Amino acid sequence: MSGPPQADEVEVTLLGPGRGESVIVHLGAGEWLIVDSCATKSGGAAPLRYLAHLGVAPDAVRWLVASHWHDDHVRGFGELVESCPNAKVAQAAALEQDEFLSLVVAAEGVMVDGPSGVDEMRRTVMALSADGRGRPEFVRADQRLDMVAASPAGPGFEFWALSPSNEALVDALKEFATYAAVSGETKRTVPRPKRNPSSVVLYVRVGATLVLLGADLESESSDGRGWRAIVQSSGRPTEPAHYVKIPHHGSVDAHDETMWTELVVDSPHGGVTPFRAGKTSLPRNSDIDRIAKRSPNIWLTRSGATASSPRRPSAVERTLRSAVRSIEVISVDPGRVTMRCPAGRPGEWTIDAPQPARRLQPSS
Amino acid sequence: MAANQPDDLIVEPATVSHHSPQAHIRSLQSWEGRVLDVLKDSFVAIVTDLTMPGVEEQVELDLEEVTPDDLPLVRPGAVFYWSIGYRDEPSRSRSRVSVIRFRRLPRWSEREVANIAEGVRALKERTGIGT
Repeated sequence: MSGPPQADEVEVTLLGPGRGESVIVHLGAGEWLIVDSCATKSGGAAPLRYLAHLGVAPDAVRWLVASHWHDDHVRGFGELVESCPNAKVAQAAALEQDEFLSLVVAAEGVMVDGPSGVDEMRRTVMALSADGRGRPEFVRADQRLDMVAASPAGPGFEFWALSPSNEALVDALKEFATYAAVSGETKRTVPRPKRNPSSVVLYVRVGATLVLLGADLESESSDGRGWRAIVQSSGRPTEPAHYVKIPHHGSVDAHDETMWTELVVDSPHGGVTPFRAGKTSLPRNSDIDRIAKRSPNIWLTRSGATASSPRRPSAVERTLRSAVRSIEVISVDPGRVTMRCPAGRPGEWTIDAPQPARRLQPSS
Repeated sequence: MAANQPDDLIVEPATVSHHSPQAHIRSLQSWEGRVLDVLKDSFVAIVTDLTMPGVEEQVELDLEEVTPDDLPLVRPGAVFYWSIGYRDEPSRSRSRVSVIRFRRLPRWSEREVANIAEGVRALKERTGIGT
């Protein structure tokens, strides 16, 4: 698979983990959608490097979507916004509320970068403002963001936000409030959040091919939140998708039986990216087993150790052995899984998954 | 960084050594870190290598590695500096050491908190958010 896709081909490329993950979708006719961003080892936005590898100019990007504001999904997003002059930008509706904007302003006051994605979100709105594109589109569940009819130039496309629900948006605002600046408290960076209540799940149609991009949406016990809110919604498109970006790095917390039975075809193609933070390492072996039993067509962008340790003085190595419980390089170039098919013949995917990507296989 | 060190220590940049009547640390490698998670007796952080720019690592360190004075500062989002090197004593003994010092950010003042609301209004006006 070399060069860009044909005008009537859909392509879904999943990148990760660099710092984060990104999905790049060819919408047909040379137009592209990028969901989230991740950084290369050298710090640049990985989706831009991938498009350059294909020979695609950044001005071919029609939409940039930040599925949520966590740094493992938006590292480099501001650079994308600055580099893609024709792109419209979409974010979850929670990010236009004062509770979130207060974090953006407060983070600026602390004057140190933090492990959250607040800085990228600030860079995003400032770039849009500076070049006259205006504010981002702030989205919520069951909102169709764009539509282009089929024509001789291409197969046509549309794409929808399937989340966040109203209840999830309220949850997000409550979460933002816990990080708010309080008089008398010590300043700190905005910490990396632990939950993803307002993730934007996207449903993309290119010709007859349907793609479900699961962001980090988790499974919730409430009908008004998580995957249950999407499945039970009467306002969404109902045809099952042929490709699924597995939500939240394959975590069992994001597994929802009805997602598999209602929102995707049997044995869909798809991809998942690994994630590591703190004690959490995803997907776990049990996650891989569970997903692989659902479909033999799901690929992991990177397997095994992320990178070898840098060379250090032997005295440092000896001290590290006694002083740390674990240390692991996380600034790596992302793995990649690319799937293409004719937009009018869904399911006829051609797969390009260079190592260290691998197909998920059940343990037995 | 020196302002964050205990009074009886002088931490020099990596590969630089100075003579001093005090004990001093010759740093071999140093990082700046941001705490991700605080666990029962350890914490997890992302550290940026200050001696090898561009390398980010995730590390889990024992809370025992943090001085008692700094322990209250260990919470998600906190920033710290970490140095590994040699500690040379005036008595001419040498030991390998790992020194972690948390950045002491100031407290939010009432005025600063009030200014955040004004900053939000300005940001919305400039970007068109909320219109």
